[in-house]
Amino acid sequence: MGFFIASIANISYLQEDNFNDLEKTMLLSSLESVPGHTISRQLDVVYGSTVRSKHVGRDLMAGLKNIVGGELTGYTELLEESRQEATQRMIDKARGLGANAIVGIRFSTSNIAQGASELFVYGTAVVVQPVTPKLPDPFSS
Amino acid sequence: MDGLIFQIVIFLILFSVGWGFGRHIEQKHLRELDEKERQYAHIRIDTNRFVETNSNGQMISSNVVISHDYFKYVLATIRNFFGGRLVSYESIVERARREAMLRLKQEADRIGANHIMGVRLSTTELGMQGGMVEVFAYGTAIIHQF
Repeated sequence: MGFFIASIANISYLQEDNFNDLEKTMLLSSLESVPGHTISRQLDVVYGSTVRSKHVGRDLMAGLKNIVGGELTGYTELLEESRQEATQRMIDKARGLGANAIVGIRFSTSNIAQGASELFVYGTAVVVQPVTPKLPDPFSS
Repeated sequence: MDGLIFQIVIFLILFSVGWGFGRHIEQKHLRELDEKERQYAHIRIDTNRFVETNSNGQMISSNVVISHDYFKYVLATIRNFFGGRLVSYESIVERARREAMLRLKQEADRIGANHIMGVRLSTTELGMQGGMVEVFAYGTAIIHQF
């Protein structure tokens, strides 16, 4: 029962958001700068978070898998899409500030309640400009 | 009395199933890891975050959740009583880390990058009773233009 409701909820959730075309315009980097770009303006710290719980169907499978060991694919997918959602929230905040990139991104995870975990992502919203490629100087040689 | 015997039988079944399947899955996983690590050995990885480069790049991430088996759980429970190294759990965490790094490399390979900078790893314990560990790896893939 829980499995069916959760899968319906999952489908409608997937239809609502379309991450890919939005993410393309925002540059993300876990470094102190965006590769190939120079930072022209520092804006503010932006963050996004989401709290997700696993559903009954996945829990049951995980209970069985706990006996034999190995990878839990259901949880791997669940955490991945939750992190994507958190990142999307962070990107929305950065866009509100007028940034076109986020640098120094860090992720953190915490168990806040029985069966629920919080996925938190933060970074610095900045405005960047692409580095103009240096052409070889014709007079130097 | 019957209940006790039943419990012992259940325990022994779980223990042997966990031992057999757990061993099999772990060895299969380690073989796959060895093979794929050789395949993606050309991708360089560092944790330097102050790099300046003119190439383009983007952030990539990967995660994996690995659970223990019943055999390891029993071993760890016994070991917990006496203290010391939990060798059976160390192998789980190591497998999870290697798998996460490998997936990060695969992701980099998919977008055509051959260098990952500023890699960070984070480990989370998921299950409430313990035994499920998640490793999340993220970094910035650099597409070198020569």
